[in-house]
Amino acid sequence: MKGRLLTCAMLFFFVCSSSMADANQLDNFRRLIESERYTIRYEVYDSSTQKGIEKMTRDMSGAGYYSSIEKISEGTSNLPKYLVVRDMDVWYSEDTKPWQGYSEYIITYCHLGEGAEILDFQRSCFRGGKEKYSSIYSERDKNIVPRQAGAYDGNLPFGDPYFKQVITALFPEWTKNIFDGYHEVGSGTTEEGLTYYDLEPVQMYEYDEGEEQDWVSAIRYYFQGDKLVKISSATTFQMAGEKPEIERIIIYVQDISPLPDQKYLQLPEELKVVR
Amino acid sequence: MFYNFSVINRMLALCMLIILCLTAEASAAESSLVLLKFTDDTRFYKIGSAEYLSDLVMEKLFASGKFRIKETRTIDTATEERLYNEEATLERNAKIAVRTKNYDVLFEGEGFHEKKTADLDHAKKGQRLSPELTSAIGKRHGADYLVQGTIISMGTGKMLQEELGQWASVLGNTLNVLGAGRAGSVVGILSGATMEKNMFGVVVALRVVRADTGEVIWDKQALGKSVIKKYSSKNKVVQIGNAVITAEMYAKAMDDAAETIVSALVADTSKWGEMK
Repeated sequence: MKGRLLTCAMLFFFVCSSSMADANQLDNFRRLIESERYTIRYEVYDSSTQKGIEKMTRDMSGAGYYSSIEKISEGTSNLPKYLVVRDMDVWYSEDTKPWQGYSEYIITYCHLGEGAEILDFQRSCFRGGKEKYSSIYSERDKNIVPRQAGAYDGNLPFGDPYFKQVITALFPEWTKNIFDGYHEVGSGTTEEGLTYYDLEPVQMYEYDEGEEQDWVSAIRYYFQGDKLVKISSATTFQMAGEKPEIERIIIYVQDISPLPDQKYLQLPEELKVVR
Repeated sequence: MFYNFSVINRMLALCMLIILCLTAEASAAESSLVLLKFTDDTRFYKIGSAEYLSDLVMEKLFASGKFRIKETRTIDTATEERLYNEEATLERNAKIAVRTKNYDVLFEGEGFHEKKTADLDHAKKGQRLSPELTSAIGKRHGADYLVQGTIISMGTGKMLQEELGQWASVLGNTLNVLGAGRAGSVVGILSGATMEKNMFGVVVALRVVRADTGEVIWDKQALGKSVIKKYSSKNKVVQIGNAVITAEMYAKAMDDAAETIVSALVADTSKWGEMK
């Protein structure tokens, strides 16, 4: 009898803990962001920007430039790459946009922030070559002048504005003064075995005849085991009588860790802060 | 005699069988395709280069004898038009998802497929278009493959190296197409003369889509060019040739681009046996 009770208790505990573990993947991710201690690497596919960029690279100066872009893309994705590191009040973010490279020359824009102060600098190199750090204004300038965070710098600690948007969606209290926020509307498992959670805005607008606007938005977070691997976001917006505008965003998470990579939370040695 | 007649019949039957087999094998090696509307990404899109290029490509595909072309003109209907703008599908799926609260139709649908490409005329090998649309087009025209091309760039520039992909030159933004006329003639080689090459070039892309899966199985770019050679004597007194771009040069560059890109497709198809 005791044995059976013990077995039932263990089984009950196992089932509860399993479902709690599965159900808390999104909550675990929320806790990671709330802890303000993490390192996250990701890439962003943005359908409208990608189309414009592909056209832009083609319109540039002819076959030589175009083939350089192709070489840059070889063996690696051509999506913008971001890294964000956070350790409480100190944060770092960088973004690399491969298509801006010419003759295989890559520039990464870096931002290091502490409190209300931000240091902007860049890292540049030829593919396979040595990396150099410098001011964003000149590659020869190693002096970095700090600036105060402004109204438009809210996206910088997250790297990309879309990544900030999908993170903010998890915390309705962050936007309670201006927006009702998102709520969870479903979850499940994909054919590939990924667990997903769907969020949609608390209030969505769908217009009937005569109304001004039609707005649909949704976000899906994908987990492989406990690890966030992808976030898909769709927004459509249509004014009455006009063509719908579509935004399709896919964020591919390459690396996510609760440990802030300290290497990035200090200015590179070759640079000097000048006040 | 009866025996001989029977032997002749058997021999005839065997010959017919061999002929049928050879014919069937030849047919299997030919891929059936249709050409979709070509597009022009340059600022000169109004001069009709896309249509001209599609005519040249169709002519050269036909001349190669490697393909069965199911239509004699490019296809351009409302269904095909959706391939160039699949956002409408995404928008529909989004609204269905919101109404039904089933977001699989949106996020696991074609619009969010890993290799999804938004538009046909920028698609690259490995990407996917909507198989629902491509298979409908394939079935309607009896084609296994859809072929589409894009003019990427067009202009003039000094030519420094021959190989595509190693051009250091910059294709400029000016296109002057004059009436028919010779670009100039070369009269011998003057001693101590220098040669300067000017070029009119057009960069094109061609892609092949499997109709049943929507997958882009082949895409390449090619540079078509026509060159003006200008000779000057040592003391620059005599100049032969001029750098004016003529309609003839434009036509030659377009023909060169079509020939180069179709040759590349034929060569790759031959390596595979048939298009995969």
